[in-house]
Amino acid sequence: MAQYGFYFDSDKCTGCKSCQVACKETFGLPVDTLWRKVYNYQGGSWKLDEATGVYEPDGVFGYFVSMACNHCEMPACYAVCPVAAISKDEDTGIVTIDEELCIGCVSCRTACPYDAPSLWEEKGIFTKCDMCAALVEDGDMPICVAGCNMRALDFGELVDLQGKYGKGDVETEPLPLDSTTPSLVLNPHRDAQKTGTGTGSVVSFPEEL
Amino acid sequence: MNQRETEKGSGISRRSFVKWSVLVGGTAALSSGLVGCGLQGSKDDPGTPGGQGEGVWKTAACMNNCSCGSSRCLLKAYVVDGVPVRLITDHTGEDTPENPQKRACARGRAQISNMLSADRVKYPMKRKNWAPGGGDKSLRGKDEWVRISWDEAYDIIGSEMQKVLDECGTRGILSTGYADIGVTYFDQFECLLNALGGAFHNDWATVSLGSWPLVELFMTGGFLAAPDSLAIQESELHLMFGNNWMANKGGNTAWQLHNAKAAGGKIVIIDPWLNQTAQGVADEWIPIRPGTDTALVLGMAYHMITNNLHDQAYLDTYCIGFDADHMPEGMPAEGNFKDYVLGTHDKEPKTPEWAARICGVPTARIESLAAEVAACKKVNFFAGQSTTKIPAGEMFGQVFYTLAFMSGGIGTPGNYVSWVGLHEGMGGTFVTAGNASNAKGLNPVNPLRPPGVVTSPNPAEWADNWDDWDQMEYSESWRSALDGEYGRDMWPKGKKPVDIRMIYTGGYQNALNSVPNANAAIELWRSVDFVLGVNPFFCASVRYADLVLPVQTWWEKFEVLWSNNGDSVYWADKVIAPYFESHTESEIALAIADKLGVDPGLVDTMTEEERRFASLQGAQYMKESYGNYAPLITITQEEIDELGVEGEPQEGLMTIAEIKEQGFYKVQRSKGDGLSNLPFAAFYNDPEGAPVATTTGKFEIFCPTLSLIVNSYGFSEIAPIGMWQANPEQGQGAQTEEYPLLLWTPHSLRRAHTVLDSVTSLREAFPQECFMSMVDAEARGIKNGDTVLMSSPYGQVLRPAKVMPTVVPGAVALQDGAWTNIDEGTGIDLAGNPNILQAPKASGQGSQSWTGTICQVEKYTGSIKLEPDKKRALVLPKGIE
Repeated sequence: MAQYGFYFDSDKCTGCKSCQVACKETFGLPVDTLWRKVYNYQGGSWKLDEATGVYEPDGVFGYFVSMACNHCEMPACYAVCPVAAISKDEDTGIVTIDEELCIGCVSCRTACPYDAPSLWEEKGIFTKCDMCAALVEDGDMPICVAGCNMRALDFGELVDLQGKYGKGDVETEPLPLDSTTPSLVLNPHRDAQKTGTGTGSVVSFPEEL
Repeated sequence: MNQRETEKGSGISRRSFVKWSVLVGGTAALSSGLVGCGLQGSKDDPGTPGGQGEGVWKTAACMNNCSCGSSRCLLKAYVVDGVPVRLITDHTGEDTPENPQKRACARGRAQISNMLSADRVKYPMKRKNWAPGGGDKSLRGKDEWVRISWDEAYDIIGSEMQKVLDECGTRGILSTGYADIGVTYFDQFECLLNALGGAFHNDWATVSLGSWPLVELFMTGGFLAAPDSLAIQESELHLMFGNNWMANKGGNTAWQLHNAKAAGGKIVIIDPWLNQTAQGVADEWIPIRPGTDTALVLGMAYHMITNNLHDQAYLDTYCIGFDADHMPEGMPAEGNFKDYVLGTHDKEPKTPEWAARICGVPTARIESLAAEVAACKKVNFFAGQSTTKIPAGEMFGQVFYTLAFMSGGIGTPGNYVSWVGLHEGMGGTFVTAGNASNAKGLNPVNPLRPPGVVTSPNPAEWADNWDDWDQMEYSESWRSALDGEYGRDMWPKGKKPVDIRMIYTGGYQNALNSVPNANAAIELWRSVDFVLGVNPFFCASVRYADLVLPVQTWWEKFEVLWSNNGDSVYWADKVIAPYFESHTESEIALAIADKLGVDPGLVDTMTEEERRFASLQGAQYMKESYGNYAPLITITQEEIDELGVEGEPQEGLMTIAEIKEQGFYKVQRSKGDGLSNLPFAAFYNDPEGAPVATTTGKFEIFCPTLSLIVNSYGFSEIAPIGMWQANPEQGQGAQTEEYPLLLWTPHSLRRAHTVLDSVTSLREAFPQECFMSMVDAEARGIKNGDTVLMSSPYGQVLRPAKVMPTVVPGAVALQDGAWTNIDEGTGIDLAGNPNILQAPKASGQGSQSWTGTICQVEKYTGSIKLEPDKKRALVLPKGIE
């Protein structure tokens, strides 16, 4: 059994959201439904020099984290779905929601530490990234990866990505502590803060996420 | 072109056209049932490579003016039964800094939603309460609409235009469309106006280029000199005043900057905010107050001079005017730059402490930055165009070039000074399409356009035939037209009269929205006798028109080879059938010409086939060495005969079939390929034998030609050297109790300037926000996401505040291009168009100078509730189904 995964280089990402928009447009997702989204995490403060009236930045930083479903080794969504609508493919490790079975009960969204399942209101069900399984099957890259302007996304078998980029660190603010073994290699930004030690906050509006 | 030909050309049957019209018409956004078509998880879906769908791939042009053609990207649309269902970009083959894939940005990826947007204009329509002469003009922008026939539309336009022409001639018409800037924004209606005698334009100087053109021309003798993406990899330090290429250029520009960093260069971005490009690629961000870069540079210059860090030998050899010993003949020695910086004569040394109080960069950092620049052997100096969009913005251009000359080495690999940025392919035109807008050279020119120097009138010639020309600059034009005169009293015959009776808003321009003082624009739109709007979209400008015509987009109107940046050319297929009743610009202009009795041969000077042929025949690529060109496309006699045009067969790199199939051609680069242009290399190597094209043959730090010409316009008073000049009305030092903050207006990835504001996926990704510092927000009790009222002396807008630690205190940002949506009860703009707020001040060479407009931001306590942008209803023409 293989496990496909994503690579994301936060140290390059400019928050241009080509990944998010390309995904959304390709799959015709309605407003509020996002299969990939981009967080902007920022922190730091300013000190006033009373003599000159100049504010000096004190540890000010900002970076982006682009996030889709991580097709976890131990998907929390899978465990909690009351109607067994979620499955994990044996050959690829891709986690999918069966639209026919989903009853829209929010359990998966609540359980997912990455907020990946996204409500498709009109259909009354939760939907999410399937790593563009149909494209991948044909040897193509997922839409988000193929379109990344900064070449900050990659895709492949997780072991290969780890071989190419190292282990990375998924415990990077604003992401949570690892409880599901996500299939993600995340290269933290040069100013990244370790999960749990963050002094900043997500400045993206809730309506963006 | 008739309907049958259209169908043939686009491969779309009438039946399928009707089908998608029904599918997409009238819906608020593309329904999920159309786009994507269940691509997920099924191999049988259309659009899935290898799938069983019966669609065709077409090359879909993305001609949005992202930033004057800085980047151009490939889009391929999968079209099933006439409906584009999926877009891909260039994602196969080599992808290296030398030969990158031309990947589209979010704006490009959203083009299906854009082209089929619910706010496309479907039919000719007139304002419900319109009457000959205008009727109740105050209803413009509020009235309902009535669908009319093309015949009725042309009758109205013919009679209303004729009335204006009879009473005032063509000077009674204000055209806010572009003059010919190439096929992407070409509008034959401009040819019609020119054939009639030329309309008034408010396009003196440019919106884009700020105060740079005359500065570069007269100080360096060059124009648009810049390094290319491979050349900047030579630099060890990239000192960038204002740079958010990801948003304002898109494509590969920010990635190429990353590649320069990966090659070992340090990237320092000086900007009022830690913008998205800086978050991605900068090694260091230096926060600065908007519009104060001049002071920073002068502080750095002081530190370099007083510590002897500047390259005196370079200045002595290549420059004029740095110090008293190197002044041009006949000029007063005390006018030199060095003595100004030291305060020798004005007794005000421009010390780092002095600079810090103005620009907000701490003294120690100014000093260390100066030392860092001086110590670095290869510096890439870059300044964004917006850095000179301040009062007397030429002065920043002057000190910027001066700093680069003080650093030395300009003309050698790794040492560059430029302001046009890393356009993909900048540094040279490596490949270009032929001229599809005017290959025959028969398009009439505007007889009212004054003799020019770059993009401004030439004052050396403008007094000759003074009464024969008319042209307003942008910023003050709405107010000038309302007041009936424009210009300055000190002009040779004083201010010039202007009497506008009709406004034409077309050619994809959205002028009411995109020039400062949009409230005055609305007043003007509501004052004239007739407003004609021609646009594919129901944009802010046409909402205030009397009559609106639907026009085709570049997905509908032609098949042509086109280019807009230097490294690639693209084929444009007809991707979709004409949207509802939309016509081409050519059809519209010819029909109106017929009403006015104008020779059609002056209006549309080439057939569609001739334009297509010219675009292919004239396409060239740079071969083997810089500036050496060869034909790109092979064309056979058979193909010429098939097109029915005049022309000679030719041999090129690829056939017509190949360029159509591939959709594009991009220059193939490699390091050391001889195609890079190194600006000023010849001058560096032989300063006597190969002088630059300035008055003195050297780089002119003291440049009296520049100040003489700029000052003759009367908009600003600049010196022959760059100086800091505080402005009493805006910028640092002009804040008041009522307006204590400084506004600046960066670009947004949601739009390309003033187009693309109605695409839901982009509105969701990029809300139109009031970006403000946590310091200023805290002082006002404003939290992230709160609705805030932004006020300036010119208007008010309502927006959500995005409170961030990454904005310099004392400044707020509102991104350009949002489509004005005035709440008629309060006069507040609910969309957040910065041109409601920005200062409408002509400056220098006629450039705009909005950066640093004074403003206030308060927590909003009124009764208007703002929906998130993604859920705000699009503005659609009331009364039209």
